[in-house]
Amino acid sequence: MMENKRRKYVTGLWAAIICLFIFFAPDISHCAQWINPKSLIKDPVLARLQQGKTKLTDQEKKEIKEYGYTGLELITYVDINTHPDRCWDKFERAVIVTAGGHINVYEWLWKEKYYYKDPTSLLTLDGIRPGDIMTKTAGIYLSPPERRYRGWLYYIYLTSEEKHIKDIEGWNWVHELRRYRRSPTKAKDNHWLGSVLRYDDFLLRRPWEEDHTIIGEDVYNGNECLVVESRNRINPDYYLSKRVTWVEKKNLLDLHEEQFDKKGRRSLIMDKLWEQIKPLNYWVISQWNGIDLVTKRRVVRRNYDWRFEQRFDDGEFLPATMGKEYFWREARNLPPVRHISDLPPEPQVRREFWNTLKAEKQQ
Amino acid sequence: MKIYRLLPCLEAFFIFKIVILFFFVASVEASEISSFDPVGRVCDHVEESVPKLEIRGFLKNKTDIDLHGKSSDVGKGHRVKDWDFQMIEWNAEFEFRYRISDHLEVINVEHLLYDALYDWDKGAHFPRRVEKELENYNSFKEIMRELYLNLVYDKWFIKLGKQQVVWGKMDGKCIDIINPEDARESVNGGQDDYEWRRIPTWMANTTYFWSDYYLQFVWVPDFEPSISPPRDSVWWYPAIPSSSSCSVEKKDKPSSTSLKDHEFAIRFNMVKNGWDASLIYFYTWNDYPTMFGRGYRINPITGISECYKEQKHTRIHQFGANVDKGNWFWGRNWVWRMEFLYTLNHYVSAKESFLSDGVAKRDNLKSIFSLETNWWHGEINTLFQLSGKYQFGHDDSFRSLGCRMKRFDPTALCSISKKWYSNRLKLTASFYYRPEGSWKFKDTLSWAFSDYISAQVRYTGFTGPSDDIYGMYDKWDNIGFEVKYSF
Repeated sequence: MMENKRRKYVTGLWAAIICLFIFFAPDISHCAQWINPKSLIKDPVLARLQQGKTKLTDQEKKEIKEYGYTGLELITYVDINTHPDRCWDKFERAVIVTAGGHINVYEWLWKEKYYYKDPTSLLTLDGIRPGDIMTKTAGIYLSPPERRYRGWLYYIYLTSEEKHIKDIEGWNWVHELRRYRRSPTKAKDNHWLGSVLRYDDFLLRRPWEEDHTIIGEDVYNGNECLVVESRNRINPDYYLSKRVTWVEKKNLLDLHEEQFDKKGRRSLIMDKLWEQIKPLNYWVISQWNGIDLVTKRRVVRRNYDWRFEQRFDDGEFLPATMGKEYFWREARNLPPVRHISDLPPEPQVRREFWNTLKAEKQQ
Repeated sequence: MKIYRLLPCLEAFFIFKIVILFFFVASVEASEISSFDPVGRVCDHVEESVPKLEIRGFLKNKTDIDLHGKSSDVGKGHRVKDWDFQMIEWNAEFEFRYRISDHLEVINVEHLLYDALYDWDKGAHFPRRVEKELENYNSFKEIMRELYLNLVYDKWFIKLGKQQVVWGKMDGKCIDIINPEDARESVNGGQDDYEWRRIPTWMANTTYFWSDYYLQFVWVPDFEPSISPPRDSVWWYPAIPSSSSCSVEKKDKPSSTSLKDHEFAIRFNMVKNGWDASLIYFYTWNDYPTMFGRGYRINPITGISECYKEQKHTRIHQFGANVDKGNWFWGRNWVWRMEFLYTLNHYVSAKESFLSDGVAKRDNLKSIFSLETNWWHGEINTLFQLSGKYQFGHDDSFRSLGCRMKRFDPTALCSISKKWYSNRLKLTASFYYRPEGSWKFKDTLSWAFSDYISAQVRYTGFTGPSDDIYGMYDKWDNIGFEVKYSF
């Protein structure tokens, strides 16, 4: 009798503990979670036919038959993956290395908020029109000392092929001057922080600005990839003749890129390391590792401590708020970078793929 | 210009600052220079022991060498010039931030100065009072440059304490009116040294943010006047004689304990559809005192008749607006900015007559327009700026710095800069022009040895008629060297 009572009591206690645990457990049911862009878009036609395009080319029909995707569709999915969640923040470190081995290290805290319903709405123009603000992004520098407390703010606009509108607007806060000022924002081909990266490489390029062709398949670092060649079709004077991207098939992530300058020389190559962040499973680029084969300059960008589902108010993206010089989360102490040996190895040209492709063409 | 006079100076400074630095650079690996930061590492240890404390700062030497010979009769004011250096400033700054909580932090900026000009330039003879004022800081007020509490909570941003509030966005002052200015270097300053030319004051500064708007209130109980170059110092106005036959009685500055003497400001700002616009109002004192002529009197000591003046600050109202926008055309983003400031009840000095007080109360309007863009893959930046001051109720007897005041007084600025080598080398050339044929040139070549150490060489030149603000400094051309270590 007593034993039964005790068992009942212990069972009840456990039930209470489990209920309590469930009660206080973080509720992520309301949160958006990572969904494969292919499933997210649902109708692949939306990704295949953009900017008023009404029919597929013969090449695209062939690509669908052979690979299941068109080049534009693949790059659109990659683009969707590079914009996780609606509102997030992270720490970032950029290491810029000159040909002579001189190192500059920049660190900052970065937050971003999207002003569109979901990635599909950018294709269907549901609730957003070209010229509307697509994204607001703001950051504050942690280092180098000269730049600490400096801030930047960008508004990125949705652009379209039909309307010639500005794509970005920016402001800077200069701690020394205690002043924010609108800056003549950089154009797509401008170098970022004096490094080998351009603004188009990570911020401004839209998938429809290029003609994309799937040129083959490859296995890159153990990942099955489709290889896409992209050529700009908007600007005849574009700084690249083409760029080639290795897109991982399963999650649709770009792992490797090789760029070719106007003269057709291979210029910038970069590796991107993707990481899936728990519990929402968003894929993020945790490392960019690039080298300019012509100038031998390098850039390594590392992203740390991503936080999703943030609640940044619109007022936090006003230029004057940069004057708060406010680190909204504790700065993370990263191990110092003092020598080139502290950096990952240089990315390599994917010669095996190019040799195979050459051989196939010769046949 | 006597070139031979420069040789010893150039030898000394090139050897000290540039050559030694290059030897140092050549002797170590590039990556070692990149990480050379001894003070920063000490600060890191302190920050580890005192969590939530951040320390940053810099050590800097700034030396300007005069490019002209000594002279005993320069400008309308017949100045005596007997110096080789215009400054040999050693600066140190320490900025401490202590985060009390996620929303509250206290910030303190300490600044130290020693101008070795007065000890090292043996040929220069400055009055003791000038040396005392400019050689180093004489009071704790000057050393403790800023001390304020930052409260960031929800949509509120409150800053309490000694601080700088900057409203203007131009290369020059228009609506940047809250803090008084330290103009002891007169026109020698550049476009980007306003941090040092602003005098922080005690104030309460509150801002409330909406999605696209904000409203800011500033209450300044502590009035501080702007500072002009001391009479007989290097940058004393050459158009004004060093000696004066007048006796001046300085009236007390506005009291910090009396509410009616305090200053109040309000700003409304909107960022919408790409426009950034503000309206401002400031109920303030004129930061520069007005000299009221009070006639003549017999000096009780000398028995000689002399003019007698009263120096005091007067109340003014300032209304302003600013607007800026970025427009995309010719394949690039053009940013244009405009600022306006209307000052009510401002006193201007008039040609003296013993029957009048030598001043007239007149309003004026200042305006600045600027246009800025980037070229050549974003590596070249150009800025064009046109500023002007319109004097209402103008009279030919009005005077400014010993010269005739113009009804409309415009200045044009054209600035171009380019960066090379991953932004480590930067050349900036700025030209200021005034319609009287008066020019100022400022060319700066800077090199970042690392994230911590930088150096620059700078030429500042003036030319024009002697009754104009740039022209009066025609013989003040200088070459400057600067080395800065930030940590």
